[in-house]
Amino acid sequence: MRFDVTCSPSSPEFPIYAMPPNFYRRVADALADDALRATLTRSTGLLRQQQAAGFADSAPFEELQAAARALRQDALDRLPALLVQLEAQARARGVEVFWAPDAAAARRYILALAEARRVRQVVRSHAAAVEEIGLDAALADAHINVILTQVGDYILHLAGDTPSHPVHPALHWRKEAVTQLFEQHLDVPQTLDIQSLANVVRFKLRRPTLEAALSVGGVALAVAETGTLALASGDDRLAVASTPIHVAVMGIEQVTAALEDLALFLPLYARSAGGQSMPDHVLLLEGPAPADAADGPRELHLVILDNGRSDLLRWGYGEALTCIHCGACHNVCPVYREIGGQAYSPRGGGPIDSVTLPLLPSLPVQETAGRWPTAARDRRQDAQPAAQTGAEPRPAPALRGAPLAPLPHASTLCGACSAVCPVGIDIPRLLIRLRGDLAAAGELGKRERMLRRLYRWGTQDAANLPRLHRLLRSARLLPDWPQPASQTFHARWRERRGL
Amino acid sequence: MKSLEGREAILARLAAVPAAAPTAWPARPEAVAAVPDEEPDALIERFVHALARAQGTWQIAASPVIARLTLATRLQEGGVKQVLSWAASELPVDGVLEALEVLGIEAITPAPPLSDTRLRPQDLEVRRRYLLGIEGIPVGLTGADAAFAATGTLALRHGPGRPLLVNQLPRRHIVLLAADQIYPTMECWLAQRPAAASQPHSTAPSTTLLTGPSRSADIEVAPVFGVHGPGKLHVIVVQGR
Ligand code: SF4
Repeated sequence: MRFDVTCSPSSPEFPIYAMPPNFYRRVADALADDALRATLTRSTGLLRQQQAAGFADSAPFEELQAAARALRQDALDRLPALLVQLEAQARARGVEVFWAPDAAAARRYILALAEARRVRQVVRSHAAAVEEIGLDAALADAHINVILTQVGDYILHLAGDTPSHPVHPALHWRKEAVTQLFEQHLDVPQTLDIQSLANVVRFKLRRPTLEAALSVGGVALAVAETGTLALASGDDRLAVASTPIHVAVMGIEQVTAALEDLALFLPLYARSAGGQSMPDHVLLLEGPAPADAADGPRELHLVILDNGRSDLLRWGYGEALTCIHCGACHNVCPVYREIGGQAYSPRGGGPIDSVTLPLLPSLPVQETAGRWPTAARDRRQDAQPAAQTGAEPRPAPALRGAPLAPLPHASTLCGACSAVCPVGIDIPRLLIRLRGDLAAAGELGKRERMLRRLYRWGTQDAANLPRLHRLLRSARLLPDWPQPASQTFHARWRERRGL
Repeated sequence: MKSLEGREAILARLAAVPAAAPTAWPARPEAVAAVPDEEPDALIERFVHALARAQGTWQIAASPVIARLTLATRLQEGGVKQVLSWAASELPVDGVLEALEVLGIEAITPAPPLSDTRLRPQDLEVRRRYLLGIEGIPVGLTGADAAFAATGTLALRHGPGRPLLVNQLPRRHIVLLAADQIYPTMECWLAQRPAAASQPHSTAPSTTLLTGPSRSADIEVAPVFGVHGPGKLHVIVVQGR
């Protein structure tokens, strides 16, 4: 049994999955866990097959990718204008729009709303932007009950675990572990039938969902031209229908110019994420329900969240914001498939997250308490510009103290990610650039800097290589690495050939 | 922070973003090429094929009368006594609910009591009891405003007489779809919609796009049905309206 469910001293009744704080330790733990790796291999293999099958009968992938890339880039190029247009359209339809510069502002807005409406129960659907603002913990602190509607999120919440995949947050969980968890916490008989396990969650969720007055979820894309919010997570469907108040949280980048863009992005997302021709459920919300309609939210709030995204744009990493969170890059990544997203960060991780997470503000303290270091970030706004790529000089990212600085190094740069990315993000290029920016910000530890200098010395001259080899063997500079072979390749080659 | 301050702060930050470097990326694509007119039968064929791939089931009724019969038989065979339904005036086939009534099948158009968001405890309690009261009704019956042959998707506009709960709450969802509502693609359907920007309040406040039954795959990526909405979706395609 892999998942030791333990109790956090800070909250005795709330189980916290014990997780080592250091990235390299987490990686080592993941690699030592054969069951975890078997689960990841099987599930990512299935998802890869589904993705390939999903594009078998579509227009050529490259054409769709080029069109999607152009639309997303166009949206980023015109971001301020599109956001203002979206705001105007949404307000004209009676939507309350709130601009949140950071996670704390978004949390405060939703908390204040819940308190003003005297809400005691909030239904929260699967949405990266909502997880990012640490809303669950803030609501819990305010003694407001949070109901998570996605089965994966529900499992993780019960176990106090962290997510491993953008679409399937509990991808690292086996059904054996799920049934044990449910037996322990929900007092239901053990079963290994996955439909029955999912039905347990359905049963547990329905009543509280119907009783709740406020729901919070994300947005797949918001349409500037019409003010339409496309909700596509699927697990939000009952909550949005039944709760009188709904809050949709979107990142500033989740805007697109025109309604017909959805006809490209919705199928593209569904095919990339799980081989379906469309998401099973999409709600196009164009305003609160009119007084003569029986249901749907009477009050609709849109939170437009920055939280470091504008910095990413300023620092020249805007391409990463064109991501549509389909998870395809995770499923093909040889590093992800060995360690799983839960090893990357408390918010999960994978190829694209290795670019964005070190550049975005870290999680609120409550979310990480007891599990992850919350190193303060020193945002040096006026640091020296990094190497230029053309156009206007870009300010260098403020990266000193980035708690997730090792992430961009967790890649072989094989390029499998960008080959399947439906919006064609060149992830390896961004990773290489971020490695440079992190090094420039002094984010490499002493040991890494010394090893890199040693490696450069050893490889820049053929005569130095055997010396480096001898040094590595004798000095045991890398005690956690396998011992280098007793002979260098060249020495063995010469010996074999009798040279 | 007030929303206005947040707005100005975010827009100021975005204004400070240096102009993008020239890229070799393709420009915004032209509008999707029009799909050539397709024979109605070919459209139906493509639609039901795509629907079946999304795990939906279907029947084709050659006329509204046959559609009523098909629906009634299906419900009777399933031993259904109550359905949640759109209002009779919103269904694409006349006389459906009357026909069901004759068979002893009660149709309820949900109207959870709550006119605003003041959320007084007594109002909430009434609403809660109402919703829990209709929660167990096994079948939801709706029409559809459009369907897309390419993906097997149904588009349902909501509003008075067309509650969202009908296609979210029950375990089974039956859709009466007029054959002439099938579009080749979502793009074609969108092209027919009123220009929302110029007529701000002319569009429905919400539209559901359904592709197959409620499907999720959160444990070991194994597909499961019916966790968040109806686990079964059946479409009766009505010809000859
Ligand atoms: S980077 Fe591309 S492949 Fe990865 S999650 Fe985002 S859109 Fe999907």
